[in-house]
Amino acid sequence: MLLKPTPKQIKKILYYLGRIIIIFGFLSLLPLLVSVIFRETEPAFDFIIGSGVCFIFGFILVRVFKTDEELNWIEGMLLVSLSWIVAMFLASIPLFLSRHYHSYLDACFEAMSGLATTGLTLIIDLEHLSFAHNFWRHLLMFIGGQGIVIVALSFLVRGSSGAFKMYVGEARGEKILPNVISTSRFIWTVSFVYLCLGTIILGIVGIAEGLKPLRSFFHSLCIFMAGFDTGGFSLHSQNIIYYHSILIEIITISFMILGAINFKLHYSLWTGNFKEIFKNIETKTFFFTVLISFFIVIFGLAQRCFYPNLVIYFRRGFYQLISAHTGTGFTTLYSMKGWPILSILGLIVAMGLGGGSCSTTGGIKVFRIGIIFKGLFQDIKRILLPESAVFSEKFHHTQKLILEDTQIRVCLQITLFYIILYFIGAVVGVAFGYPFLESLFESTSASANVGLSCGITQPQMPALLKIIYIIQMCVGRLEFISIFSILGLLWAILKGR
Amino acid sequence: MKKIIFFILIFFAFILKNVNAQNLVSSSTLIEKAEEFDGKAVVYRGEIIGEMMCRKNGCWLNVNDGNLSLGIWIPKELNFSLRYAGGYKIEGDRIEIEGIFHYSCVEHLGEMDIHANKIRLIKEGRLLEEKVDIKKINSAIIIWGFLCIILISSKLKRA
Repeated sequence: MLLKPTPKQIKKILYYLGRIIIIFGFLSLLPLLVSVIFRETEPAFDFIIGSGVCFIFGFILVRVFKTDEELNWIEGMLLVSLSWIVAMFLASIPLFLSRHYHSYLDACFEAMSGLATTGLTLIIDLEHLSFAHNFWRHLLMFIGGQGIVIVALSFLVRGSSGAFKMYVGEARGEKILPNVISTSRFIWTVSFVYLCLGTIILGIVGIAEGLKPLRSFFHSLCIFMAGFDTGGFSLHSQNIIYYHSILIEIITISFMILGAINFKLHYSLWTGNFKEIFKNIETKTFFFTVLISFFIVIFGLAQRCFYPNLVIYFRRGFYQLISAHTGTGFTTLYSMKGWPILSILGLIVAMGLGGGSCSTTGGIKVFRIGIIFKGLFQDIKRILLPESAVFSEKFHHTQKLILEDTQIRVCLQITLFYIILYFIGAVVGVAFGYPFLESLFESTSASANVGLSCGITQPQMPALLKIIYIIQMCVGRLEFISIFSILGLLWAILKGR
Repeated sequence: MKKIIFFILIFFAFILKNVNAQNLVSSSTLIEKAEEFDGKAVVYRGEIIGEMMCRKNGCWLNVNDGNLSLGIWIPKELNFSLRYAGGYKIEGDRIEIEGIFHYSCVEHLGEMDIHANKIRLIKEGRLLEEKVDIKKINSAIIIWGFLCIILISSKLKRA
């Protein structure tokens, strides 16, 4: 029997939502610091307004719906999805005020693209955007990559069973440490350490490549946030081409790969267990899928003799592939137009697969691909071996685990959902008159939170398609369950008792 | 005689201008028809954005023609110096570049670029005055004022 949500449940959700909004308000004060450093007056007002709106909503919700009760599963899930939607509307206020977007919908698109670490953009005249707004775009990726609710878990919510529900709701099924709060804090510690190291390294390289020191460190900070969180925004419309530097490309490749690694694997590395890299099912699958998709991309390019020499094939092909596979969206191409169909298909496959689970990437995730293939091999073995033979398939994921049928079923389900999601966007794109391959490319890019574009995502694109992509980005990032809970809630309101 | 020379000069100036105009290409044309323009002499105009990044044998500039930006390689011999590069509150120098377009430059490991042979300043850039919209100031005051009222009232309620 479907039950309508009770006022008590709604009160709990709104109270915790208020707390998350307050944290978001504090985060939107950070670009103010940037506007002070670079002496930007008008952008400062955009963030004063934006953070003020967050605090008003947050404080009102916290005061009106004050409660000490904990969240249950469905409430946790609902809170997560609501937080993401509300965060999108609030984050887009300063962006819209910058006057670099045609409409508020475009600013919302940009905010969701940032939070979901997609990287598709509808900005106009990025070259003249203020430092503060640019920092905000990249900070959104850093917040969204780690998870909006992870922020709240780290600083606000007490270590409770409710916390775990919110953690799972943000598409992180694995606990790294026994306590979910410690897990959240570990994720933030890892991210901050890498942020500092990455910014320093890229900053120094930037200076060596001709950037001015202050600008170089600002660029490196933003590029790190977009790279490690597999976002793909950049400070200039040329994306990574702006720097004309192979060294910066190599460093950003390492950022992207770092971001695509499961935080659980990061923990193993941090605790000195380096062998885990070679044993883990995710790294093994990632290696194979990169190899196969790279072969497809290069084969397609080589068929058309696209580039003059092998080094250029590798430079162009490998960068786009890693960017696609890790779901980042950095590019060293001006346009995908002209790329052979086979290479584009290779990129679509790579985008669809994504990186590690419990990482900042989107897409199906290589863990699930690994499990599905293990399951397939298990079935083949079953056919080949005598009926009386008893065996169990094992895999390594920080420890040796036995493959279970339910695990395979769940992985297949999520994979199927993703494939449906990719095709829904493609069909809508085709309905608006775009070619199928390009629609599929853009739809996969949005759903798997990649950000590579073959030209459909533009301010002039139909509003409905923008809304579809916003939904795809959000659904892709949260991995369905939280979104299903919202649909369930709506259904319960309509049909429940 | 003077009149004839004057008209001849005007005629040549007109031809030269048209020769340039014929080669003048936009960034989108170059990107879309990259293979067609590969290795050809082009004229490209636009605003310098970001900054000049100097390397061993020359410098990189990114020039935006209002649609997209393209990388321009400036050899050291040209001795080009930048006045303003476009950014927030800055209108960059508008320049015209005559050079060779490369679809996938071997010298720069596959960069799509223009190797400049000649650069001409069309319009010097400038710093733009930043005017804060009064509506924004008023909105900020109202929002934060309202926020203060909420905080004070809740404190009073608690007390």
